[in-house]
Amino acid sequence: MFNRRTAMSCASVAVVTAFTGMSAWSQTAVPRNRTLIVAGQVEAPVYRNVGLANPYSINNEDYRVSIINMFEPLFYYNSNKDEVIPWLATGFEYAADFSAVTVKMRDGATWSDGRPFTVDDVIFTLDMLIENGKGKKDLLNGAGLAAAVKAVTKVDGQTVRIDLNQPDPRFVFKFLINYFDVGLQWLPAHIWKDAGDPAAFRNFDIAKGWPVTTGPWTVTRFTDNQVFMDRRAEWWAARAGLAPMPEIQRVITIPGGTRDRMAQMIASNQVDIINDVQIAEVVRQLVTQNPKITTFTGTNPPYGARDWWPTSLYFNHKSGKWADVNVRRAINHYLDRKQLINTAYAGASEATFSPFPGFGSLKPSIDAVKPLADKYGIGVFDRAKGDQLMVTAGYKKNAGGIWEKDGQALAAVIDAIPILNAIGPIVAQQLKNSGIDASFRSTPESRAIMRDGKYDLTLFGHRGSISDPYATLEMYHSRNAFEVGRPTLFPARWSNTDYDKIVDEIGKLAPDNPKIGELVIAAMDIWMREAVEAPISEWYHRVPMNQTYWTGWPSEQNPYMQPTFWYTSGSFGYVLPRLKPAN
Amino acid sequence: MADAAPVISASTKALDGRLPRLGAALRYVRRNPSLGIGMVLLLALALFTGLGRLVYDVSTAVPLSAPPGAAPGPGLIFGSDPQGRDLMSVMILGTWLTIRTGLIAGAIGIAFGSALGLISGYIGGRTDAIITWMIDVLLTVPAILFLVMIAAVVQTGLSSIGMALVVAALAWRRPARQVRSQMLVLRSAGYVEMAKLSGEGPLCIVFLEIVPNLMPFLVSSFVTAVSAAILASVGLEAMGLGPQNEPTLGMTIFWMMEFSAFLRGMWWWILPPVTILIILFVGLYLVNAGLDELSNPRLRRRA
Amino acid sequence: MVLAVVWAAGTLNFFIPRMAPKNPIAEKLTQMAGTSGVDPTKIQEMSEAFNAKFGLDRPLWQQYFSYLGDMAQFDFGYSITKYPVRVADLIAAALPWTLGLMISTTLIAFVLGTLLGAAAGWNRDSRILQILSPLIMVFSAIPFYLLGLVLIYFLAAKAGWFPISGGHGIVSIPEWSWEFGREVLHHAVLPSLSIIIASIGTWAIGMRGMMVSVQGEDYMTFAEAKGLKPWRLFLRYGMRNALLPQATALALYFGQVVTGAVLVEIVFSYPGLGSLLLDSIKLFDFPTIYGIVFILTLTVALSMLAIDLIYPLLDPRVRVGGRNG
Repeated sequence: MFNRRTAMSCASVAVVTAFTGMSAWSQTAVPRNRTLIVAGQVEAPVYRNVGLANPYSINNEDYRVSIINMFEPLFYYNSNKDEVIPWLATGFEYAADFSAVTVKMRDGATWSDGRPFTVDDVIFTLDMLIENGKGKKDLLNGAGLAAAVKAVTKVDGQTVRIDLNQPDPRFVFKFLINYFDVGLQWLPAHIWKDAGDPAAFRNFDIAKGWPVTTGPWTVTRFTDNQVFMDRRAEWWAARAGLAPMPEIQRVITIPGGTRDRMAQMIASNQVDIINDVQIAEVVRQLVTQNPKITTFTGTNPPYGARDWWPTSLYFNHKSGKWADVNVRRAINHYLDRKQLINTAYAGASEATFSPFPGFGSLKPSIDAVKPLADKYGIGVFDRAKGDQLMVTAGYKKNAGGIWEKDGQALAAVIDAIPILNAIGPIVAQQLKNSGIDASFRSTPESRAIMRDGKYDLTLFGHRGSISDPYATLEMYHSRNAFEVGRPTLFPARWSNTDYDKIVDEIGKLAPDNPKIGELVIAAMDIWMREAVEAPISEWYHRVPMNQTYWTGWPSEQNPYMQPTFWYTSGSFGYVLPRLKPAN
Repeated sequence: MADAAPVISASTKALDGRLPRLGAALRYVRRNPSLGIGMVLLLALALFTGLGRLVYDVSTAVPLSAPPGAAPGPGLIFGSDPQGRDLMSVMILGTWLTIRTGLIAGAIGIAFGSALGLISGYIGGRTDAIITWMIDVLLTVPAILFLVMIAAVVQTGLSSIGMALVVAALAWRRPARQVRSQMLVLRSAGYVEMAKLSGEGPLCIVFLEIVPNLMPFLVSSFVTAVSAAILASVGLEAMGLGPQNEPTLGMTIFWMMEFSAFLRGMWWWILPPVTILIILFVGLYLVNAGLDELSNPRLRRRA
Repeated sequence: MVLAVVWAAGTLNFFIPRMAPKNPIAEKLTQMAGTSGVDPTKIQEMSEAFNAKFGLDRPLWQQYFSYLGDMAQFDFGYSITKYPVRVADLIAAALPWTLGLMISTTLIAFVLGTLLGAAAGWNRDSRILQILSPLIMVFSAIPFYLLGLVLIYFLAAKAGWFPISGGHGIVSIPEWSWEFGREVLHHAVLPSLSIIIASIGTWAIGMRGMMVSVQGEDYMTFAEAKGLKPWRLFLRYGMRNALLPQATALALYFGQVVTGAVLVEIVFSYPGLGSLLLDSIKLFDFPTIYGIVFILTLTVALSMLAIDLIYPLLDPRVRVGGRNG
């Protein structure tokens, strides 16, 4: 009965589509078993910044799930093994007082247009960013580099010296080593010097072979629903024996749309890897129902790779509402993390008691602060203890079972971004069950409220440390405690001068300095005592990978890199040549 | 079966003065099954949500009240969602919240819209031109734009009442334009001319002469407006723009989509809200159809 | 008149998104924070740089006048969050999908629904109609995105007869070929089906009510008394008069087609104007919102004009009174 109507509607769709806006395009076909199909980006059904391959454009989004992986760093970093992998550079050396660093480039690296990659390209990129960071500030990383770097000098044809404004033993780790969302992309000076305003330059032109990168790929198509990266004929790294020539002939990246859509596409073997599915139960079903689908931890929980974004419940320290530490500690006691993980993640995660993600390299710090957490009750579920603290703080339960002080019932809205929808309502309910009138919200407006510091409570992650505890500790430095209204993604806005002093001191010490251990304990003693936030759980990127066409995905058994293809460090570029065809 | 009704009504006639009317109503409903079935459906929903609240512990419509994602079983008639809401409670409360949204928005929309349409269409001239112009301008505002902006300005979460008001703020535009176009037709009708000639005032003419003639249209418009308001609110909620802390049917659909109920095969999460919405809409439709017959007695002889 | 509507609507729609002091770049960066790297403390600097670039730092009245000028020339400028794409190109890329899907399905549903409603309102003795129309209503009671999900689940994910989503195949390249055309058709089946099934009833219920009203009219009784053939009575007196409000509703509906499509487009990841609008609204991408809403405004204004012109043809009585009578 519906066939005819459908046929009619289809006919009109076809006619309209065929005659508008479709350019004829001829392109060689690549067999499916030599094509890697990636479904990424969940926010919009089509690509937003079509034709923009400028890695430093603020606005740039689409290239981050695809073209970013063509750019190669000076160093890769594998957080699974705490291992720095020299790539375009061979090594670096700090001055004794950490006021400068010299970096040595690899010989024989070439750009995709055949020109050699040299130290001049590195200097050009750094200078361009520093100049922008001092002036217009409309390029990513510009302001950060400008604040850190005094001068960039060419030592010889292969070596560059970077002088720093302040001694900083972590400079290389902040800018020159690429991991997760950290690191720079190197630009060919011979193209960019004539580009004009670097913020307006698109760095994209298929006819010219732009973007010119050192990676083994070239972009052959970039529309609002597809990015094609085709394998080039040759690649310096293969010549140098650093990596095999990729067996993938074409990487197609498509906007994944909704999570359901992506999950269904990978379940039917249409795509090879998809964005983080988050919901553990869905990934569990994917790996059990389709034997070709695997994850970083195979078919076992947590079905994914640990990220640097452990979740916490943040108090807005600028609101005055949480001025009493007893209330903050009580809320810490009211959160039953085990129940939360069992409900929201089907048990496939771990509770946290500190802001550090549980990477191996951070394990010593996490173990060292465990006694502090126990002492101050951070991360400990104990409703009776919480009630006691509320009474100490001067609260009384009213007829409705809600804590009340001076006739004012304690109510709070938890504003968060939608990615935290799985735990938000549960956190709110746990607080409600303990006498705090909490509700959860993740509308488009909530994220602005969270960002501008106008929230009561928020759920958010961290993006701090990976290899040593400094980066996470630094997030809570007073310099990041912006006044309400000024946007930041460090939601706590907490400040404590004693804490600042300790963190500044750690910042001056090299990551391997044995003194750091004590200082971390001293800093975290303040952090825990003040109950700055309520840590909740680890964050896993549950990325399903399909082995129908491609094998050799990163895994716990073979943890050569993170499988997360959208990291803005371009670390997935390291994975691509290591994938092998299934047949 | 055919003569059962007269028998019953005949026997009850003697007992009470009010009962014959009930009997007559029952007899009428027998001749107008749309109204009957529609009323029964809506009544069933009203009973479900009204009585349900009395006999069922609806405080379990919140997370962590039941084992997460449990299929229906003893003690959990409709099962639970992955955050541990007892779906039976959610349905009992959600049905009421959703109906209430539709009633508030539909009533405001139709009252304001038809008043404006009547005035505009009857007075005509410049007033009509201005009012029509304003409606035309307002009709261009997309509902989502309006809602997101309201949320951005108010900066607090919407309650389901707030949701109803937002939907109502936009729900009057169509009835206004449609009533006006009906009015344009009716005001040159013979009986209106007659009334004018006999010196009746404009309010008299509009409300005594025209409105009764428009009644089937207005009632049908009201039912349509209620359905439309429910659809609109459920739609906005399903997009994640609704009251996130209230268990409305639309929010249930949002959570269901958000947590991949289809992929996970959680039919007990999908079917109840969809079924209730279907019963609700079908009920409204049938009542609408039945009311047409009731208010337009001349049509009855055909049946 | 039409110009005045477009101007007033343009003004209204310029100021509505500005009610809240929002910055599109800040919104986008925050949205990206959930999935991607954003310098956490530099949002302010970045959004200020972009404000200067897109003239958002000027006084509002200045922006308003340059907006009016741009709209008059159909120059929508660059999108902010979708830079470097021009708004006109965004619309041009999205419009064919939406038009193809929504216009065709709306018309099919309108014709079928109106006929069904008219027949059901007219011929209330017909058993089939009295059973069929509630059935159709059952389907229209299901919001079409939900129907879409059901169809995806059964026909795409379970049965595998249709693609799960998208406007065309993942790996195929849009081109002028039968192959590609067939693929587009194949992708359009489920979204079309869900819209048609779910909206026939809406038109039917309106038309049915209208027919019932019309039947009570004096002229109907008169015409009937004159002994006109029922078929002629149905078409010339019943349908023609009842169609009037129905046509108004259709004209109004076309203005809302795009917003109506949002959820279907989201559910099917269909690359249309509705999802573009929703995305732009969520990020406060002013140029894109303005461009799309302007196009919608024009559509509504023009369809209303068309209705006003067509009215007298459909209903001679309106001619007597006239618009300004």
